[in-house]
Amino acid sequence: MTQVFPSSLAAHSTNVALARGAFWFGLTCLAGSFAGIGSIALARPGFTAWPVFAAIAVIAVGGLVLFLVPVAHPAMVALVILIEAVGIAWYAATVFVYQNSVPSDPSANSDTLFISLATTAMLMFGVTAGRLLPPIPSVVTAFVLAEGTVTALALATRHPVVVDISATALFAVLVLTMILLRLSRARSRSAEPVISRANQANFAAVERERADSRVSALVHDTVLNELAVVSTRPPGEVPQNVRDRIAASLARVVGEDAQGGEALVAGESLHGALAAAVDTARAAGLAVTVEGDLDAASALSPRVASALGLAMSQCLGNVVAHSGVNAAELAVIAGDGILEVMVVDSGAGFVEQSVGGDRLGLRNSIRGRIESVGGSVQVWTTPGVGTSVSLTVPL
Amino acid sequence: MTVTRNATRWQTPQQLDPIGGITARLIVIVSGVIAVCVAIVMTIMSSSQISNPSLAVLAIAVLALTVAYFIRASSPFYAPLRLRSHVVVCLGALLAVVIEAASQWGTNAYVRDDWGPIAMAIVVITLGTYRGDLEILACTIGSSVIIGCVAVAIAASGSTVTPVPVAVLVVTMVTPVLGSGFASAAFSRTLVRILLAWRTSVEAQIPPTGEAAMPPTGHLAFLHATVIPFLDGVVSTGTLGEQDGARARRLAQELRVLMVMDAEQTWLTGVIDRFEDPARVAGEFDSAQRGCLRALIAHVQSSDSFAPRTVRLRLGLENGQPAGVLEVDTIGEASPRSQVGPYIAVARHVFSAADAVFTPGGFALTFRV
Repeated sequence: MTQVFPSSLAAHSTNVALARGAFWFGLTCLAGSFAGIGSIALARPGFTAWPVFAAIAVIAVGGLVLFLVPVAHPAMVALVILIEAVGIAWYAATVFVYQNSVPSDPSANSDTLFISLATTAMLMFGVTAGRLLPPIPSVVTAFVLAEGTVTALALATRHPVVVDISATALFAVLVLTMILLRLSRARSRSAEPVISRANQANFAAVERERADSRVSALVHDTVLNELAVVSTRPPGEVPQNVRDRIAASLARVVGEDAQGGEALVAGESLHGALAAAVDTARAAGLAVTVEGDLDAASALSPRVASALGLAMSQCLGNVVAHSGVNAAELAVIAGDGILEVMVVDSGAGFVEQSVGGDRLGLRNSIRGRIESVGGSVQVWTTPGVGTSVSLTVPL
Repeated sequence: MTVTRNATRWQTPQQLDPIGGITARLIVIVSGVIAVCVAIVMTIMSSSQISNPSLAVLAIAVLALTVAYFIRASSPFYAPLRLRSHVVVCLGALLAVVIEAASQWGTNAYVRDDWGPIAMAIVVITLGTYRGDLEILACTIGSSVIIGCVAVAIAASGSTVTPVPVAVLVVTMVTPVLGSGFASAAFSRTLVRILLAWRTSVEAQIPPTGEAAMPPTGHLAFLHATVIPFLDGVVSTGTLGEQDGARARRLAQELRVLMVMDAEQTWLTGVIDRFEDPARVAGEFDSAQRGCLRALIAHVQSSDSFAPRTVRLRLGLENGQPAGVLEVDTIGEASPRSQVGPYIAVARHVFSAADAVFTPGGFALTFRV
């Protein structure tokens, strides 16, 4: 799985996240304004606050539209601009009228806190519009609309006009942030193609490794055996049953290789594969006792069942070839999403680390095969005491 | 979309997209510098309201240290930014707010020109890339309560000249931090949902497997070229010649040797020429770890800042855990730190531990699986 979010999606995703964050920032500013003016209204019963609350609601509705609509139609954009202009004008006019009624307030300029909260909210809704429209022009439009309306109203009502430093600074920071994000993204995401390619190569390598592992296991179980048979036969005619078996082995190997390891041994369900493995071992003189929940095995996928059956066959073959005893137990245990098959013998045992590198049965035919289908193998063995091999596969 | 509620709650954008943290780091740096500049400028502009200049300087120093810590913690070389760092940043900014308020104790005429809440808001807003929404909300609300108390205390001191109720002073000081925190949390939550949805869709896709279709190599090539034709010949003719027995033995031996050689190979074969893996731990790497190392190796092998022939990898066991070190010599005077930053960020995400070290003339990445 890739670890890197594609550059092609990063910019849009960041814009969407910024838009949502800005919307909540804007709403918080409006809520702050509502709370502040509400507290003033409570403290001064003569102050009529409802026009401010209505104006706040109008401004919030404009932001909500930008937050919710999926596509920016020109008519919708024009409507939102109109709503916001009306909202801020109504809001500022009411605040100015109030300020004029309180001449003792030394901070009663056009940049008063409550005006700043509303213009900041509109600025943030401009960022919210950036998920639908070009982000920087959206913010510029919001700033011009908010500050322009407030300044025009202040001039019209002969109210002291002061540049709103906090709103202007916030506007500059927002634009700067958007520019920097673009520059920074271009630089930091330069590694993304390399990492994506590496992940793809890795995925392909793992898939190929798995496919090769399955073929190798089959080669070990079939072709090497057939070569051994041929090497021990005298020159002359080859019996038909030997030819048929060699042909069947070749068909299995070629079929597995051609189909990327997905080919199954024809007609081999787990029961069939297991039975075949047990029969082969019994034919070789091994007394195999089978116990456990055999029916649970029917839930295995065909690919897993096939791998398990073939690995089982190799396990029992190892008992015949190396354990020095003529009996083995087979236990089938179904668990939470897994099936475990254990092959237990009380034979010679061995030290796993000391098994020669050329002994491929455990590595390829058992471990490689089971791991290729998402399973695991555990071996417990003590020289002179015996060996238990646990094959666990996903159900 | 199969995004579970709990997964959305506790994952962070940086965890899901390590490179996103690097993109945002420039904003952390710039906004941090802006926050400190705002603090200095506003301190100078409202100097007439300062009753304790030492505390005013201390407040700026605490803010600067907090910003410096945040910039360091957001580095890809220390990624991901952990909860502890988040708490340190919030507490540091909050401490600056409190000390700044103390520096104007009894002389604070206008709380609106107090820089503490504004600076904290600027710092907090960049946390959205690095931490989860619930964490940010918790820090925001906790901080706001404390700042609200500070506002009430300032009002109680009787120094303010604005004829407004206490609630207005609280709103003035709390709104920037609340707004910034809510924005940051919403940013984080939205990004996490987008990234989780993307991951779900990526996992549902089957990537192209170009290499899987490549012709067989090693023992499989030998099998197809030599062994199968030989056995096919035996099947089709139905007879064995004088030399066929010996040839079968030889083929079996060669096939077994090649199988052993192939089994000894790891996924690193073909990825890097110089590697040591005496404990054979390469197989313990998961897919993401392999992908990350492949990418870094590919980068240093193709970059002008590194000597490609000097790339070497040593794997082994460290306290029983697979670990390794990737080393390469650097070329030229300029440090290629920023070049490898994205790879280090990803490495710190996919490995249980990963550290990058630049020495004069060299670069090393140590990691534990």
